Amino acid sequence: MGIFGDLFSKKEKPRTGFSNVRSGGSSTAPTPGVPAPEPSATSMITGRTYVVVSGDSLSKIAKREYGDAQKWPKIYEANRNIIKDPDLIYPGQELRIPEA
Amino acid sequence: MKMHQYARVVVSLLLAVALFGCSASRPAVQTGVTVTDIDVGRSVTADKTIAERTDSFQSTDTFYVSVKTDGPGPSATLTARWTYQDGQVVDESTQNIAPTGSAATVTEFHLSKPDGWPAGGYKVEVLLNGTSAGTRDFKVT
Repeated sequence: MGIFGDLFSKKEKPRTGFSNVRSGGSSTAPTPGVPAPEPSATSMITGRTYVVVSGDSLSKIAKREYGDAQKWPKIYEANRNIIKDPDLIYPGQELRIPEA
Repeated sequence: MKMHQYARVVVSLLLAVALFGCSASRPAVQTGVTVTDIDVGRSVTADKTIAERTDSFQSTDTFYVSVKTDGPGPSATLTARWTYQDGQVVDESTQNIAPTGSAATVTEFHLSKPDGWPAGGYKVEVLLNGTSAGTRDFKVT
């Protein structure tokens, strides 16, 4: 009884939930079967990317990235193609963060 | 009896030669691509390199791993396998690349969790064509 009790208690070890993680990736290398793109002005854009998480706002991201929440329009302008309303950003959105 | 033992030794030797001979002559994965650097951080630049390198993350951070590869190859598969402290697989992502020139290429993988990461130790293992190319440990505080 004691032995079985020990076995079952080990099996019931709780697992941490990671069902809602969001993953992605990209490469500077071409994908097999797809020719490498010609260098263009758009590929010269500098900056970094940031994936929005729950609780983020543009001003919070600006504060974190630039040390100044008032610089949020810089991020908004760089991401006008995906942000329709600067008060509405969604977890999982990939924002380009321009150089300060 | 002695003859049987001799025959057994000869057969064993032949089997060993056959096995090791085959594995030694079997070509490895035919690609000139090698992983030369693996970095972890909380953001990447446009050229996929880590902008902010760290091994200590906040629960709301996005994890990034940047993998630098050298050498050309018609097709190579890079995999990032993220695990939590007890070995629990958090996520596994794959990117197929076909580096054409001799210049280094960089591939990034990222992972976020909208409701925040549990504190603890994490590990990301990078695999090239299914073979481990390196691991990086980091933590969430």
